Amino acid sequence: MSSRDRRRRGSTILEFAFVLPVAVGLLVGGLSLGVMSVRTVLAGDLARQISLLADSGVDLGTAGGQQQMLEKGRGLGLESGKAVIYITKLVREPAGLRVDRTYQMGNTQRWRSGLWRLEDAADLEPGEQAWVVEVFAESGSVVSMLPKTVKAKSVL
Amino acid sequence: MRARSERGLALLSFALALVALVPILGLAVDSAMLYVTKERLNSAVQLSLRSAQRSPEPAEAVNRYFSANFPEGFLGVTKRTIQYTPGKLHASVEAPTYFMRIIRVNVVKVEASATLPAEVATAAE
Repeated sequence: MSSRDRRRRGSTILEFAFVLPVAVGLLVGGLSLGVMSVRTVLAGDLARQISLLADSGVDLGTAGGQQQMLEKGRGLGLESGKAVIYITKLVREPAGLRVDRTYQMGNTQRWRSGLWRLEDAADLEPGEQAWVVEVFAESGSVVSMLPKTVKAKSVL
Repeated sequence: MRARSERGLALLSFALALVALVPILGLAVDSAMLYVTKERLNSAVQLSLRSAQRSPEPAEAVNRYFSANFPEGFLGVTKRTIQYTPGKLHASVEAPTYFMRIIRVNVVKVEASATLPAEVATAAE
């Protein structure tokens, strides 16, 4: 190999070294955003489906109810600890909001319910009751600047 | 000298490719955000309408449930409007864009509607 060939090869490698981080960054960033938006949509859809399930009268505490939740949450990795669902039934009484019952499924160690102030969850009139479903899941992003968790909440 | 004329070619090609790549990626990001907004709006409209039918004052309840399911300022949206008629709900928001601003599209209107099945709507009246 002549010295000219070696110089040309070195220059190509140097240019490639400049281009590669930008190209990889764009690719990984784009993919991460894509995965994150899909998982955000899945989380929202799961929250909606579980609210409808709870509202339809299915007892989510029974094995059958749990199985239905598990099947609906499979896309988000509910059974493998990549997501969690918190289901709370709120009732408005004269004294204020009261938690009637709660169910949870998934990785409860990693994500905690955000219903620490019930008044923020739903604005209910006296006598009204509502199901509040919260879903937390891994965002699937490998970019540190993007959130690691996607969440969704539905009230029915 | 051939080697000198080829020097910087990869960088130049990549810079040119970026001019096309960045708007494409930007469009993908904006579309994804709009899709998430549309999905949440659909869900909020469906759940609010269903919740409202149980209330003695559905027109008022629909607003409360809509706000619980689609909070003010969610993903930076503005101009939330809700039109309720018994058994029907239509909502629209203006979602901001991040990259489409380059082509002077600052906001995109996102809409969603839901209708109760006839038998449910009749029972609720």
